[in-house]
Amino acid sequence: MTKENGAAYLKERETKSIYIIREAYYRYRDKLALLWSMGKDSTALLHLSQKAFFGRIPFPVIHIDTSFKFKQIYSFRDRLTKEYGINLIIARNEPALKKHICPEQGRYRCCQALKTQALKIVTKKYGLKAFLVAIRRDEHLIRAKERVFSARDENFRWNWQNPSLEMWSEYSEANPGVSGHLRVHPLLDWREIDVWRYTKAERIPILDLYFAKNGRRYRSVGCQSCCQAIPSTASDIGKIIAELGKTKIAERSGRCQDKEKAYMMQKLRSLGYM
Amino acid sequence: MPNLIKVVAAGDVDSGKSTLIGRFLYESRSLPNGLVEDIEEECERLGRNFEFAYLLDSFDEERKNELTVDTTQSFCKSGKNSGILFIDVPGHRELLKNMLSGASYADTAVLTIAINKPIREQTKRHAFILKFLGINKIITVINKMDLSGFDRNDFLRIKEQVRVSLEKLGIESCAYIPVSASNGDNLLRRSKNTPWYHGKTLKETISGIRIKKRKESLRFLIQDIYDIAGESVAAGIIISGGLKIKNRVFVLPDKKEVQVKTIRYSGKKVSSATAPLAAGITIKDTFSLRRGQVLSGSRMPPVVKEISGRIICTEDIELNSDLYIRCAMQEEKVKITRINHLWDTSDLSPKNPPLKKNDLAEITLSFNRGIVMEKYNFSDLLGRFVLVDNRDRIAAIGGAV
Ligand SMILES: Nc1nc2c(ncn2[C@@H]2O[C@H](COP(=O)(O)OP(=O)(O)O)[C@@H](O)[C@H]2O)c(=O)[nH]1
Ligand SMILES: [Mg+2]
Repeated sequence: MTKENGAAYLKERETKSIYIIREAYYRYRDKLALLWSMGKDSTALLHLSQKAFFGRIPFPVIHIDTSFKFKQIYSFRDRLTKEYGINLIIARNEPALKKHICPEQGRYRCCQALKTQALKIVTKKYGLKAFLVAIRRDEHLIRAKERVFSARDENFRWNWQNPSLEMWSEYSEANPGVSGHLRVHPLLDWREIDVWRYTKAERIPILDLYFAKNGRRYRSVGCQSCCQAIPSTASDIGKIIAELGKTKIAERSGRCQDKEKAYMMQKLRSLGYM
Repeated sequence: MPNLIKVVAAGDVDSGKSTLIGRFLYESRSLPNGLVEDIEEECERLGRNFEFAYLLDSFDEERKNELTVDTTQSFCKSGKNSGILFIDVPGHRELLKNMLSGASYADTAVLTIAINKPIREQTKRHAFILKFLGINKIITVINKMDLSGFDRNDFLRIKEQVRVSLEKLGIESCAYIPVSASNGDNLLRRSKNTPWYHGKTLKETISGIRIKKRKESLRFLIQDIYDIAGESVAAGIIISGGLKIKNRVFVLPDKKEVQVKTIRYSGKKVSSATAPLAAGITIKDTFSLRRGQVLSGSRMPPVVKEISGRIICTEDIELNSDLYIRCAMQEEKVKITRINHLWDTSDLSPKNPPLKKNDLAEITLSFNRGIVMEKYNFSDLLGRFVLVDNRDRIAAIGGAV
């Protein structure tokens, strides 16, 4: 790929994503929040949001803290919170944590309590109605079916049997009703390699868990207990991009939830797990 | 991927659309490790032979019932700097909305026809919708050639039937390719089973398609107004052309000439900006900018209060109900003042009002205030519109003729 071509392509992606972020903000204003996991995708989304509003993100950023996250992410989180001037909300399901819910008791139950339930708690507390979420179609066969604006009901369920008509860039049909909420996916059309190219071009800060150490790196960063490192020698972004050009390993292959196959993912999604 | 072509697979239920995409992904080595094994396992569990369609039909219910319910997109690398984004859509008439959601992304289409089935209404409807969406270049594949023993005469016979049907709809197919989607014949590799076929493979045909570039005159669409450091900044996207500070530009639909004072991109002030870019501007004049306005140079798009539009209804429409038109970020109340022509999309036979879901119509629309609208061009944000009903549903999609 020539340099100019590649840059033009990323500009096009960026423009479309910012368009989506601004449409969500236009519709939801102070009822909108961004879900940030500190992973590469949601950090790119954070960066795009900052660009969309010329420097300051006008809505809160939520970190769903399961307490099983990698220790490295906390200092990264606090550093970027300052650098980007973020209004950070930490979502933790304290009652469940007190009861020591953990992956060993079943991943499904753990995700449900520490992610979905935690999000439900802050949604209610802050009166939120829409979330910017950094999922991409190429992550998973089920995600390939998503819409840019995607409604969830009051139980956070995805009504996939009756998706909205999303015509061109007209996203307005997705309607969460009075008791549901909306998921907005500005990166849906991006591919993994696009995110890395954009991260490199824009010099977006990145967790060093993604870079190879002792022959291994994380390709997807979630809870420590449910993520495994893949064999790799890619120690910087340029090398990661080169590696992705060749690899046949699925991006989320290190994720335990996904190991439980498509149905599991569908079940988690329809029950409100991101 | 700078050279990305988006291809929708259209055609009748069971003609092999999902299988074709699945097999293409498989042969082009676009699938991650383990996925094919997962599907093998899955097919075994359901007591079936291997189905490439499962790579697209990922919902439990889609697999059990062997039918595509919702649209899916899958990427496939086709060369060093090029890629194909395949869009799978459902064939059923009832699932028109899901078909449109997928097809609205496409640059071109592969129309699949099964050799052992006559050309039914659904094929024609899909072909017609593609044309309606401005997809003028379509590729026809005659699938399941294995079922006719790769017979040349069968192929020629069906090809002729398809050609005649498409011609009646005013559609030209740039290729007819005999394939077997489930076995991969003539998808990426030339098949030994069709020595009589001298045309291109599907991959070569797709790679040969060129997409037109957009025009160059300035179109800046205002999305919203933000208060940035005490200034009222009009945030928008430049979809074509460019602008510089001190430029004099026209604000439409008001047709007011203003001078650009500042341009912002990201956190910085810049002196110029070109498409595609998400930018923000302020103007020198005391004139307030708002969402929906379009900034243009002296080559202005039309501002209209009444148009003749072609629509496909995605809901039943009552003529007296409240309707709104949305075109780019503009929204206005609209009245359908006349139905000039009305057809059934299945066979394109004329019919009588009322406007029902799946109908195609040519109507006259009038608005309270002027709006900016370019002529019928679906690759242009200003060249297409949707009609929204009072329940916030998209009741029709269309463009001005
Ligand atoms: N014999 C044969 N069967 C095929 C071929 N392509 C698809 N099929 C079968 O036709 C059926 C419908 O295919 P599918 O891809 O789901 O069709 P769709 O509804 O157009 O997406 C499935 O059972 C496929 O296995 C082919 O080339 N030859
Ligand atoms: Mg199908």
